[in-house]
Amino acid sequence: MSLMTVAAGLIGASAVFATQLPAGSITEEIRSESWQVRSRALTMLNNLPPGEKETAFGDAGLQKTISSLLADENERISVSFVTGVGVGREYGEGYSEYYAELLEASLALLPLVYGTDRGGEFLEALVLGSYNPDSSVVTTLAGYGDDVANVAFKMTTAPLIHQRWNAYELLGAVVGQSGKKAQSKSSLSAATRRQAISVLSQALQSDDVTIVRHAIHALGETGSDEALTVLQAELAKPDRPRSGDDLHYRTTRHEELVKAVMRIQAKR
Amino acid sequence: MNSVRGVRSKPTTVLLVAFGLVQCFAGSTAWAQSPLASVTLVEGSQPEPSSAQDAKPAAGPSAGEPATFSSVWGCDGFAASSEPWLTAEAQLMLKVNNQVVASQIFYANVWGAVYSVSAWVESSDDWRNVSCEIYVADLNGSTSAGDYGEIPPECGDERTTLIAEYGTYGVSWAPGCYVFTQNVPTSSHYSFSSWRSPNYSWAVLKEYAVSNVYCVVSNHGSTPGLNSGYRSPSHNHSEGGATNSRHVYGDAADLSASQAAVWDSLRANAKSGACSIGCVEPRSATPSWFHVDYRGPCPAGWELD
Repeated sequence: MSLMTVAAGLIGASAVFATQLPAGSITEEIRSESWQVRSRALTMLNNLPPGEKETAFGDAGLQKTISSLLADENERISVSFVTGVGVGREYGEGYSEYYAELLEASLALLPLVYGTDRGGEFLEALVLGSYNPDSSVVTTLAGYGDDVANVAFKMTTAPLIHQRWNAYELLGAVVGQSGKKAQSKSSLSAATRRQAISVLSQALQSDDVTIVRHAIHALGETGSDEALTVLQAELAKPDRPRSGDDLHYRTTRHEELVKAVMRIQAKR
Repeated sequence: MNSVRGVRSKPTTVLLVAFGLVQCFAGSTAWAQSPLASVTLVEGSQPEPSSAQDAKPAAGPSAGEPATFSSVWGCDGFAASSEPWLTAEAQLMLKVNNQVVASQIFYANVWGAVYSVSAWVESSDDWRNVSCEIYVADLNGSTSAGDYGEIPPECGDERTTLIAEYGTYGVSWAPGCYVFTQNVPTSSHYSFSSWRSPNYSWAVLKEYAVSNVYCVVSNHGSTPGLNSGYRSPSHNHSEGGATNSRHVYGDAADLSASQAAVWDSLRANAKSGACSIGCVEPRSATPSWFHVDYRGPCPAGWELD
């Protein structure tokens, strides 16, 4: 065997190794007991070149591992929040950034898992995840129409306030995106659409000023005629006197209503 | 070399023009296992400087001032010819910021030869690259090798120790002396002693970050407590912070926010008015504080689009 043949063989072997590495060892590391090891593996996964990433995400073992890990981490974050400690203090400050890597991997995985047996459960875990109400996660999830709206409806009564914020913002984004076919992964039925606007409209009467403000913002995001009618009707009423938590905000409720109306008008 | 960044390349050999395959010198000495050129960068070696121009000046540093010529860097190089009947010409160079500070030309046969050069290197208030390089050529072709490192800054005060902490704790970045301040660089609702790390009188405070936190708090109306601004790597470690926490980069702040409405209004205010939009750790992870940083692209879910 010539040296050139040996060299060619080695190159061939390394190419095979490169495609096998992500699904095998990354999955193994994502199952590690240490979140730091899991974090490193997820960062590696998210940074794989496009071709290798597709191969890795196509692996059923990896899909299952990420799916169950997301549900577990959501639970861990909620428990830590309820105790008032927070995952950053409980597990180390880098934990939140690790979760963000998991979220990024999960969002990349969603189109592959959606429509399979695990799809509904996985989508629900993502909706219940840890993200800001105005983050791109909301925009991405909103493309899943009825399926995401149905989880969001349930989440409007979640015990954790930030999950309720996310629920209202998701409903606004789902309706807002339903008109943009290119961004929608599933359709939004007329009934779900009506229900979403109804839920948002009812939230305007909430005693929690944070919910009211998210509902106003979400109605503005829908860009719909129905929402415009609701907002204008609300605007016609005298503004509530500001007290308690409302005083923390820079703007008044009326000012937020005006901004929402203007957003709808700008979308036309 | 004990660079505070703690990262340095291993000596490498690069074949610029093919010798064919790397040659094996079966039955020869220990050099037979070696490539035709290799180098090692050495810090703290104490050989006499290789030329008069590199001699250490008589005057030492004054108290509180940076030393002028503070360390000796050495460069050990090995070269060999590719075949027994050839002689290789080698040039060994020690470079600082790509400028040659010491060099030597020597000749080697197939068994190889080892030469060293060294130089006193002037201290600086910023990081510099240092390299040991060798270029070897004979009638069959040429090859080269390099070993690379970084020279830490010397500030003449506690900043030198503070900079060393970035390497000790594995931070991916380390500042130069001039990055530190003893004042809040722009308008702020918080004093310098609130922003800095408790164990040092210097801090890294990125002006755009302080300015944006000022904007967020001004929009907010009342002034929440500043739980954490800049953290030295050791303080960050003792607080359980991530190795590359934005607090050691001086572009993050944790504001007190145990009430959901305070957190939510800070979030809303962080993207209103003239504030640049930063990265905000989701509420679910921060039950009693509001973390904002200005790193650039945010982790997933931390954006305020």
